[in-house]
Amino acid sequence: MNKLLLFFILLGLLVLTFFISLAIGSGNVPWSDFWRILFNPDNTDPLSTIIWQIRFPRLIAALLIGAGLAAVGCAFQGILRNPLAEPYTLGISGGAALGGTVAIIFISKFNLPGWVTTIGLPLAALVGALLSLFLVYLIASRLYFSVTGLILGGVLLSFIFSSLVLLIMTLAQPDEVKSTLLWMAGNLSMVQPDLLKISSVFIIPGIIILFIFGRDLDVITLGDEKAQHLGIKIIQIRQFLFVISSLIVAFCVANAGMIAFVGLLIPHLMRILMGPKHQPLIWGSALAGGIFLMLADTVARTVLTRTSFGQGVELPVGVITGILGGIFFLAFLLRRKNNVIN
Amino acid sequence: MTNYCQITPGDKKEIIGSYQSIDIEKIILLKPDLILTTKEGDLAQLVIKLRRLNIPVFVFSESINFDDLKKDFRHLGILLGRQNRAEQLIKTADRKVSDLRQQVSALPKIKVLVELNTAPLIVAGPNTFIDEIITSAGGINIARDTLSRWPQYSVEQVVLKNPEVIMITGMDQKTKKALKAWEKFPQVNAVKNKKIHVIDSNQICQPSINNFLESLKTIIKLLHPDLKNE
Repeated sequence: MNKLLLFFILLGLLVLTFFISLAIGSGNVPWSDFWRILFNPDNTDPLSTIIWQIRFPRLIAALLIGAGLAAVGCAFQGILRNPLAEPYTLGISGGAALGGTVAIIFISKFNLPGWVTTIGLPLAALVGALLSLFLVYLIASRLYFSVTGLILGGVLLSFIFSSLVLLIMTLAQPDEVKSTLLWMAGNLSMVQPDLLKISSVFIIPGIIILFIFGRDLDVITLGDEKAQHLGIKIIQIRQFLFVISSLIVAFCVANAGMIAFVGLLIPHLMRILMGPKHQPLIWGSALAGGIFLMLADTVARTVLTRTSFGQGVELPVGVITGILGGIFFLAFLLRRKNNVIN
Repeated sequence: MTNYCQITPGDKKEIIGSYQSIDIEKIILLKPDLILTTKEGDLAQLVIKLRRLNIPVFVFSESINFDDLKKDFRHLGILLGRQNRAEQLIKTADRKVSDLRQQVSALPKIKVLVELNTAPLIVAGPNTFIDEIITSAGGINIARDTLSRWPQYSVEQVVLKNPEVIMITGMDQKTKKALKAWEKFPQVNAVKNKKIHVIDSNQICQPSINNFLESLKTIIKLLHPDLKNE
């Protein structure tokens, strides 16, 4: 299909999803009020507060994080020539989650100034992500950077990290366990505008860098030897893209915990539409990832609130992406089993 | 004692674990005459094991309301052979509680939100000790029509339901952050009228008849500051 046309279709869908999600929520905002508030924000009106101070930042977060995770998924699948690579399977989300858990549990123990608590969580998540990346890399280098080595190392590391998280949880207070659990499950309700602004400075340029290196990814996909013959500094580029990707993941996790499957599902769907070339794949995935996560979060924050027994109750968005993503992916896998896993 | 008990300095009682994981060997070595535990915290497996070892265990109910608390207390009195004393204490507490309930019953009901955690927002839902105290104190818990006892609550609903008072449980660094988080919503009555209170979680989160009475007094003072005497 024509790439330019697809770009505009995705962009249109994105704008449409954004406005629909802005209008839908647990609190009922009539359409007439919605349009009025959209063009005349009014701080004294509770409906305006709901739209501009609660839903808006949350949607921006969903857009950024969905785009970031999907683009990173594309990059990882390209670098590793493995369809199952994503921040989750490589243990990078797990490392970031471990860092975040440590921060959540321990920051409240000490009397630290406010800005430390704001910066502490993303910083700890970043340290965790980079640490796990370093370890995955170390393991993989022992195995001569074989594709299975990287994936296996990642999976094993995530097991170790999740055990460490459980260890911290058994030592934590019951109320801390629940809040950490809801964060880990992937949760957009706790997005802080300050942290989101800082994150966007890393996530948006990060995605652009991945896009620029899309051509190199095409060459890397051909195999290490061929890439080297074609003059690509494969090890350096791989390291560089890994670090950029980890940065993106760390900021995604710091804002919203571990949101599963976006980095796996979206690139695969996009590959059907866009073909195998990485540049269109990355921008396509970024747009589609944003759309997907905005939709998933709208479901997460409304599906229970509309029932009589669950008024006001929200779900972590990770639950929705996990279920939707898992089912879609399974169907996809069964239909095209020969193509996905060569 | 567990890691989470309030420990007075100089107290030599043994710590036998935490809320979620208990050291059963230590319990056996201490040769207890009776073990008191609660349904909260999922200790069912431990209770089965201890009973199999012929150690008497008394499991408190989930104590979500004053009547349950009275029943438990009476039961405890029987087990400890102090039935009369227990009845006496129950009677006093009962009278005081019904007096307080009487006092506030004619006052207008006040909408309350009790927050346990800020990010994500976790609040006290229905069938909780906190909910019972709020209701007894002449308040309405705005989160009482949810399905979960400790739900992750929608901030939108807080803005719409517009509580007149917000209570934050806890004592540490977290509460400062929690207070600050509400500044974003000045049109919520509790924020506008500066009616956000930090309450001691040790009192309101540990159900007993005495804590119920004391918490009720505290909450009534917060909800109805104009009310004379106790």
